Amino acid sequence: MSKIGIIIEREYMTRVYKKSFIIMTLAIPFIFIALIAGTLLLSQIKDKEAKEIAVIDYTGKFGQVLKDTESYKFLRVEDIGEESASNYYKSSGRDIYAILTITGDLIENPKQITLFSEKTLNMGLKKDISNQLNPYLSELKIESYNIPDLKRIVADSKVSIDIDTVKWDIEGGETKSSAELASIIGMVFTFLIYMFIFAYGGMVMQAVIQEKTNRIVEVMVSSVKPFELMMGKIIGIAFVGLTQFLIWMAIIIGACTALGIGASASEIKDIATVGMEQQMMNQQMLGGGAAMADPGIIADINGMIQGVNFSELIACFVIYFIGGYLLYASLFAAIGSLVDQEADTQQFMMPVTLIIMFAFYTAIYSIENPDGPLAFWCSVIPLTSPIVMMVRLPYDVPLWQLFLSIGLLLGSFIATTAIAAKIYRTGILMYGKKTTWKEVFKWLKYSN
Amino acid sequence: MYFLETKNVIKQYADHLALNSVSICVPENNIFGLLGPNGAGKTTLIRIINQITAPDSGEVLLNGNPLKQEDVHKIGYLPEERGLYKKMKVGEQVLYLAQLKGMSKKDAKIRMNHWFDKFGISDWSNKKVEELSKGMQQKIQFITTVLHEPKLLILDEPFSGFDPVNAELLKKEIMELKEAGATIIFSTHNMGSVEDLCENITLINRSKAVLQGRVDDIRQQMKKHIFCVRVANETFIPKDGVYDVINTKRIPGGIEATIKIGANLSNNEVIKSLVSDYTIIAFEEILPSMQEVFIETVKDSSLIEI
Repeated sequence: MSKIGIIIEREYMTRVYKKSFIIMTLAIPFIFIALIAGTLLLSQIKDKEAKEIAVIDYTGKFGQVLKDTESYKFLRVEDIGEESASNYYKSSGRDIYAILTITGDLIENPKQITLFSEKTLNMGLKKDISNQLNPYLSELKIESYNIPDLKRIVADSKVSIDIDTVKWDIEGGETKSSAELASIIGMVFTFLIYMFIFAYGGMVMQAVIQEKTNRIVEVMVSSVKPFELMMGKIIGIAFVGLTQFLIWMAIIIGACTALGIGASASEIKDIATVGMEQQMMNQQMLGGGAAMADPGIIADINGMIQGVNFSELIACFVIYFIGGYLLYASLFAAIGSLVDQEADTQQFMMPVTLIIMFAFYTAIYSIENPDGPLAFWCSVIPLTSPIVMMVRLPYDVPLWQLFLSIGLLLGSFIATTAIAAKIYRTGILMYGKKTTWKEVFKWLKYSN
Repeated sequence: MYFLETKNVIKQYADHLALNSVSICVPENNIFGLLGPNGAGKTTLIRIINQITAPDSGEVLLNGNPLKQEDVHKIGYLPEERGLYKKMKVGEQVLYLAQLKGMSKKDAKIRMNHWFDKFGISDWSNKKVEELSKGMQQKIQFITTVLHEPKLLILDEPFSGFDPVNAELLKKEIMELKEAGATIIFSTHNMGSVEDLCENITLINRSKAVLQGRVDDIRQQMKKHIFCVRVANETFIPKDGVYDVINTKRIPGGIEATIKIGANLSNNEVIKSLVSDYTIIAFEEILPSMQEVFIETVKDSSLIEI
């Protein structure tokens, strides 16, 4: 076995057989699922107790329209006489969240309704009240025109459209595609790459610093070339990352087959459904119509999941993971070689972190406009492409862009690795004094 | 032909010249001392021999041939700053480093067991390095240095961190390795061990080789014509033109004097002169210790620089 092979083997074995690695690898999918489920659950739980809203309706016409909701309970206060609302609020002795007063006919003057409270009121209450009152007021108004059948005509005129997006495949067959689903899948992969670059790049950096502080590095480079040591470490840790990813995929696929294909990628579906529920709720509120949850939607999602080309996505993920990781890991290795202890990495980490963060935010922004110029350039430029391209992939990136992006990525990781190797071999033998950027640039000129 | 030669090696770092045309010659099967004060350039030279860094100019010959990458297998290097992977098991670690020196795992295992038996530490194999004491770690480090039976051993301050018992053990091992045919480069500040072990030395000061040769020859060259004389008399006085008295000391039955004789006089002439005045018990030349040679050379060469 070549020396670099021996180094890769050691770097890989010592990490994969660590207890912490095994535990984390097995636990993270479940933590992830629990996290998503937890957020979903939490977002659905409203305040436990309904808040009490006192309704003082001087007209006596509108107060009774308000029905109690999950969050609010409307208390009708009959006749408080001359007492002002604020006095009532204080003297009632009850825990009243807010007081709603209706001081005039709302059909004639919609402004004669006011909410009082000691607290800053949230949007939900205001929305709740107007959502209940508006349709009622509209109806009253329609009735007041005294045109026969007008009510039915108006109801009839309300149309809610539901656009199906259909993607043609090469044979001309149709699969339903979903923008929401595509963006969610893109986001998941982007997040994975972002996480892997930081986690495993950081691991490379830590390993380099450790060897340096242990002083084993001098013994090592008397046996192998610094380049071999650095690459062995980077490649060994890349295999650790891939192993972890494969185990996760196996767990997800295993879980999916266990739950039946109907729930394939169940987490993804969960998120998608929540998004849609939200939309439906909005529709209900705004339109006041009866857009009930269509049972067909859930079935549609399964169709959509099949519409996403997972094998291509995963292949690209692996390519971009390896490319992006190699690009950044060599930079992390160089940074590690520059310092004596981890606390000193700050000044060198800063630019790298900024770039990765920029890429991540560009990726989030690109979901809305995956073919826009920012998304295009950032998915081609090597330092950001591994993160940004993952968002664009589900939206069918033209092949030439994909190849250009991958080609540039490969070229640039060869270049950064060469540069990083130069910094590394000088850095690992430097102790004591803090290195400045100026010196680092000088090292690049050293012949050996 | 020398086993290892460096020829006019120059190494320039950003703001200082680490090695200024340094040439050393290490005969085969020899213990060679590489001496010099801190920061003189010893470590840089050692790193160049180990191919950790490359010289700006000049060459390094091993057995008459320029150094090649594979030559690292023939070299065992014990750096001054020792280090091992702390979390790794001792056995795995030794095998790993041996494999990187080009040994097969099987051979490495056999050699490892041999050395572990020799040092009586076979039961350490499954311990993690961090569980061992510093002295124990030093022993492991020494084993990793010699396991692949290097023809050239480079030991940088090998005795630092060893207690006297283990230092003695180490000295014995070094001598044994030399008997077995190894050539040893030995870098140290400890001049006592240089006199004990080294046959040849090079002294580097301020990036230059300022003194080299056989230890015995150097001490002869640097001798100050100082003698120790013991006589069975009551007084001892200087004799103009023959010797000065540096100091005298009363000993049972006489006097011991340290004298400096005129440079142009032979020992016999001095003895003749002494015999006429005193009853001589002993007459012995005092050669400078390596400590004195070191200090004087470093001082001199520094003066020239200034």
